[in-house]
Amino acid sequence: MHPGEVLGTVAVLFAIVGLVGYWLSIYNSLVALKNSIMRSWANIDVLLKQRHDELPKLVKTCEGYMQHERAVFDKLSEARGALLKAQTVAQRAEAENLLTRALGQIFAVAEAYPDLKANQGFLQLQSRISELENQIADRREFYNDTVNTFNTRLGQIPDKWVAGWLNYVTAELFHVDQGDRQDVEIKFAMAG
Amino acid sequence: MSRIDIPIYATLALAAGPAMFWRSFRDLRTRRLIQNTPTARIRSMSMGLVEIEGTVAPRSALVAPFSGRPCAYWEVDIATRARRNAWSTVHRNASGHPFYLRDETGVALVYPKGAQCKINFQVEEQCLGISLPDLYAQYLHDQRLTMSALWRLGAMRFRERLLEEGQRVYVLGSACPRARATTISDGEEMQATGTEDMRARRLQTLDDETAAVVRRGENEPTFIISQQSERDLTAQLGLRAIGELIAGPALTLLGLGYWLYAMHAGQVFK
Repeated sequence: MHPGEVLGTVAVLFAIVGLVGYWLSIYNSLVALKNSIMRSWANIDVLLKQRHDELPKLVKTCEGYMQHERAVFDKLSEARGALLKAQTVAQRAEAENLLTRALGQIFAVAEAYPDLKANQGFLQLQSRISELENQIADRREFYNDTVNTFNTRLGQIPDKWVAGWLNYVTAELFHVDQGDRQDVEIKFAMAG
Repeated sequence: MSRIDIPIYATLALAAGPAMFWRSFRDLRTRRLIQNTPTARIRSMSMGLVEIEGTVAPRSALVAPFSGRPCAYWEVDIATRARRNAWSTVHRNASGHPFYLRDETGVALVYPKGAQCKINFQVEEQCLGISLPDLYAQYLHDQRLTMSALWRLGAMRFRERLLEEGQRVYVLGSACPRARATTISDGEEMQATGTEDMRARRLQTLDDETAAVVRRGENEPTFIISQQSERDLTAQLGLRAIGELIAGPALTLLGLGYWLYAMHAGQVFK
């Protein structure tokens, strides 16, 4: 075999290995990204579970003081029920927003009960739930970042071709409820 | 380049080409990993592979061996002059002490052992081995480097890179829960004995705030600590991967071509 032919064969081999390697790198990274979306979604669930475990304690602490605020607790239990039933990302987002609003209402109403506000247990729960709320918000943002990266890659060439071969479709973003985008109206009852 | 050198370079090219080609895929993978991992906030980062950014705070009272500057982490390397004015690294060392990384939301503890550190050199000095400044001679002595006498026969290069307090860094590594340490003497006792100072208090606060430890993962070996931003890092890795993807096969073909034509012409082993 002439050296030129050997070199030509090696060059073609490099080109084939290079193309296959590049295709595999796209394939592997898309699979990893898809798993990363599922992981970041599951990581929100971890915090939701923690918040879920704190809620009965909060209700128990508050109920003794806020006996006339049945409606607030009903909303909270309604939101918890909706969260358990939620199947899709949109339903989950709606139920979570409902729960966040219900919690916000409990904390707002608690302002009118000085005894409750002075309760150490309540203060600890309030701080713990607020902390969890912040962490949940961060992780939702993280989930959306991951989904955004995935969706962007699904629209780009050559990733689009590999994703088509894998039958990958764009993932759903976690949208904030319309009600949460509106400005919060705060009313103060003036004494006297 | 003399005629004797050509076969050596051809063999080197033949060996380095495929390695470079292989490395290009590794760089591409790392680049993809960086691009695909969104930056997490420290307070809410999940366990596993994470990407965080923040400012460095030292955990131990460290002093860099060459510059004597206080720092959170240091790395040094010593090289000797090899053939054709190239430097050959003969010794590497790093502090390995963990340091804190703080963002607007929390604090993480970074164990830098095994990290790929992309930090700029802040000290670089070349000197003759026989007349080494005391500082470097002392370092060689302290480290008990058996080959140091041999290295000192020629020119030597000393380099040092540091992570100083307040520096902004990018970290991609594996987060794991922090191990809870038992406090031997608590704050009140330290205060009573007058041993508590500002630094100890600050460290205690940072330790209490620490959300997790970031280190090299067992399943995911990618661990990068970089002074460069994510954008610069991916751009650099992308350029390097393309370079290696082209240069690898080119070097292999050059090396192989030389040997094939040499054998064809019957010049080998004559």
